[in-house]
Amino acid sequence: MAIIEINSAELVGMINKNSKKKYSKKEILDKLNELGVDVELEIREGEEIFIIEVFPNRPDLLSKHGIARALRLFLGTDKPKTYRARKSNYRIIIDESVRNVRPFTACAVVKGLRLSNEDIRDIIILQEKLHQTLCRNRRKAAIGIYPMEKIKWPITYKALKPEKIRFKPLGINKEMNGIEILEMHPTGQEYAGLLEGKNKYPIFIDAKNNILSMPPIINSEDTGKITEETRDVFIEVSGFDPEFLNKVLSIIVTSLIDMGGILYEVEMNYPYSALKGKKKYKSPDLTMEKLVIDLREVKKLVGVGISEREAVRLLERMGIIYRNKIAYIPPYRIDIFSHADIAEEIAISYGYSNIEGELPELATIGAMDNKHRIIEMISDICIGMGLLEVKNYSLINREEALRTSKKRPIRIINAKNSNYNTLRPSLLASILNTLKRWMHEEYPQRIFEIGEVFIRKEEYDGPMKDEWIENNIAEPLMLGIGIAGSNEDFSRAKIIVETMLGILGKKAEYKPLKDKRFINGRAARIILNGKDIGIIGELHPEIIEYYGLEMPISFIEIDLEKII
Amino acid sequence: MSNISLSRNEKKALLRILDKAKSIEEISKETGLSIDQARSALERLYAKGLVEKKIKETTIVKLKKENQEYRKIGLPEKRLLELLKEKPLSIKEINKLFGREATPAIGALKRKAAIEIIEEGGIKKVKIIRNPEEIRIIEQEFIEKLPIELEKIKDLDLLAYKNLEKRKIIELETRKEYYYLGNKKAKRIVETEEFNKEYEEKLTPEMLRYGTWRNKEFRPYEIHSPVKKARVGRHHLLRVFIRKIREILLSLGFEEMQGPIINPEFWNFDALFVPQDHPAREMQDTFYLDMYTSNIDEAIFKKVDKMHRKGLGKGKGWGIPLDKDKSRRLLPRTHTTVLSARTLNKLDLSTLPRKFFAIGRVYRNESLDWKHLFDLHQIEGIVVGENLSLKHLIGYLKEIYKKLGYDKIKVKPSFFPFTEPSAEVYVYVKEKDQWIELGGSGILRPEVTKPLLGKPIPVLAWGLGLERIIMLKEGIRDIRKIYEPELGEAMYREIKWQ
Repeated sequence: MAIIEINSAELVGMINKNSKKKYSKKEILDKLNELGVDVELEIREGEEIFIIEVFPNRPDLLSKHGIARALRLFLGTDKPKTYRARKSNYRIIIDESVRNVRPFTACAVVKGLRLSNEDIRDIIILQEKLHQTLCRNRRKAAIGIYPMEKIKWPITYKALKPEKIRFKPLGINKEMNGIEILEMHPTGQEYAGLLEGKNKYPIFIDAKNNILSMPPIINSEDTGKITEETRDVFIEVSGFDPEFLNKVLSIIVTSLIDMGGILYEVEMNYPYSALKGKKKYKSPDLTMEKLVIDLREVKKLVGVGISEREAVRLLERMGIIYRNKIAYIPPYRIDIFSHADIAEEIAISYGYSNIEGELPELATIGAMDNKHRIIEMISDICIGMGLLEVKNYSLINREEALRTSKKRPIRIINAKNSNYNTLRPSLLASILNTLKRWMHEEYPQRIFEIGEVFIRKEEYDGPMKDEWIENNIAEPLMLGIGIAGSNEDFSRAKIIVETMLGILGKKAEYKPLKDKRFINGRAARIILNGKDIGIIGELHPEIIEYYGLEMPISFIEIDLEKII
Repeated sequence: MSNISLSRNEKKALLRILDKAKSIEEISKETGLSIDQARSALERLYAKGLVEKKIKETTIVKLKKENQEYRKIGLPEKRLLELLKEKPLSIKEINKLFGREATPAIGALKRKAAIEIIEEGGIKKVKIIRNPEEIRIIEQEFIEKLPIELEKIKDLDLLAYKNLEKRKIIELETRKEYYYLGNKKAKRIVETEEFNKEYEEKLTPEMLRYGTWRNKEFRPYEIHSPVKKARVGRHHLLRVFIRKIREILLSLGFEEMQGPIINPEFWNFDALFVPQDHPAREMQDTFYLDMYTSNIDEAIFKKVDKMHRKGLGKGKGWGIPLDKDKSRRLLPRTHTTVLSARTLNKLDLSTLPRKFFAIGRVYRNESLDWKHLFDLHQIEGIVVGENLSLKHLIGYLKEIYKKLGYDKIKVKPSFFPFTEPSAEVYVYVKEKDQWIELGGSGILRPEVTKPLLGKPIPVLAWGLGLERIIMLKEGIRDIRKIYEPELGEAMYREIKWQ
């Protein structure tokens, strides 16, 4: 989750500006919490800061202006406003060459900014946080912001062979070509993967042939750096989905407008269709999205008795205008899909804490699942025989899996911790891991575990479930028992099996088992009605030694799927 | 005084150590008790404060391990003397017979002035020069008395000891031994009537069979004696909590769900309206297998795909079609909500309203530390029925958390990809005087329920980490302790949540 930090005095100032009612820090903190962000006040180096955690569905809150806008609406200080772009002659020409590289861009110009250092920081933070979250580390979209004064219009968006691209990348006072930037510039190295396999790289280039940037990697040192002197900026977002790019651009330009900027449109000229199927259109598109919403459905979902007028007022405080069965969604919101989202907006506006909980009259009958009934019954029998229940992680490492089972291990391909990168194929590793942890404790130790193991379909001979067949992986429920101590042996283990099966009304047969995990001649297959249901035996010294244990251990594993 | 009760063995032992401190061995010999019985009786007397215990070190003289055979076959000089009694032997012959022992043997006999070496025809011979019957080998006699306390060696033995020590045939060893001596209290107690009374130790089956118990009196026990704890079989902490929580949910009319741990991305994510490029689906958060399901039901796949592309009739979707290869990829489930999705898909709407719950394993690609597990348990509940609302969700949350022991709860807006509205639950924890986040909830999005149920019937959903509530209730700080307890904790831990 993204976290943004805002100086408390600054935020309080932004909220109370032109407001009749003056809000305290505490009130602002509470209201932010009601709005659905996690907030804490923290003092750091003498400065008091709001630490705000923003959920991924609200990227429009990733700047202080975004927070202030939402809060001023919520408090009723501001009414929802319509954001509009002024007409202009700015033009972007999109060249056919980007079609197979990075086909789309959304652009805008904002003028008349008077940026303080904090404002610049806020813009950069917004850009960075959007890159990280909504834009999926620049994979879905990359944002560039440029001072206008050095740009000669029109701008062209095209792709060139990387060796033909030469400019000074941000932070370096030396011209480099496209390949050198990806190999040597730190930002280039970080995002090089995004251009992998492309034989041409995209650039924005102005009418004087100055390269502004090479998206999604980096801006130019000469033309791509905003400062306190910057008044007018050009903004572009490049990527693969014109609708999405327009959304990202909307979040940025509405914040810049809230900072006092004036938005100008830019004419997009594509050789192929882009936003809403058009080739030539004005960007950005800030029209409010219209959703047909049945307010009755919404109110039913919230469950509080409110009039339509009240609902409209509540929605207004969330920046949403509702008129004639249509909800108008502000252009910076990306998270409104249907009436359920409108219901949440109303609920937040109404205040979750103001909703009285109520239990509906729903007569239903509780029931325990059969598999869990079996688990409880078997575990009770084991406890009755004096066995101690243990629980282990169901992931183990690959070598353990190979040592404790003959089955082909099923690997997790991306486990952070290589000690736990394989689904356990047997409970033997689990039992031995517990015994190892307790090796300096008093013996005998008699333990059991009930849990799923994971076996490829073709290696499993028990009853199959539909999902197991589809997945090609069976997840049978197993009972594993380990008894360790100088006098624990095969016959003591057999007493346990016989007693348990006896309680379940069953009688097993035993057939010799040749298995490297057990001492030769001291292991058996447990057979019920002609079918193998498990194994029993004295563990081979080799496996005991592998776990660093120094005590004879007998082990039992019974497939509970086969005896249910 | 009268509350000190003594067993028959203790009495026997005590009577022997009133005047003189004795070792366990001595008591065993004197009373006929076995060494173990004697030790245990003396130790119990000590525990009851009736005897003093003193450690006594004694130095013992014994044959070295490698010289043990001298006891049986005799010292070399003894053996040589026997041979010389027959006839004189040449040095050469003696060397041949005695090897390394030849020189010490001759030396020892010479010092006793028992032999002399003569030369006959250029050959050196050894012959006895005294009456053989008068020659005493005191060293041999001494060896036969070993082991012996150093202090107790006297007269000739002292001489033999010195000779043998010089020849490094014997060695010294320090033994520690406890000696027990009855104290004043013991002397008083043996005079009491209680002590001298004939008690029966045990009620036996024979006494019951023949009725002989009638004229017996049984020895009163020392009820304060400490005992060891029993080794017990016991349920794991997770099972204890699973049972308690299951009981609560069953009592509220919830049915338990069951389903596979391994699931395709389709059921774990797609069916819950989580877009395929959502960050939660990335490698650093979710475990993946390099295996694929061979079958996703075509009808439900089409419905979910349409929802991702276009959304609800009047609403909108993600605008991105499902990539079926991605949908088919298998993973260990990241939440039990996948069970809810599968359950809803199979639900017969004519049976509504219904309530379901699950308590099951879920997986996250985390490293293992005091705060994080990669393999943990989630509790999940859903309520399916027409006309359900956020008000009812809050109603259920209040009821469930009350049963979990939290009378005061707060709900706060939150975000989950598959619920809208969504709410986080905070509970007030009295002991900490703190509001603590304990679970998430919401109403499943119509984008989730429409494809699964055929129409967007409200489904209230609620989830909570099982390990989290265990930690909170049991005061466990390190989450790993739940899976990796000490043996003592596993066997004897007190369950605080009663």
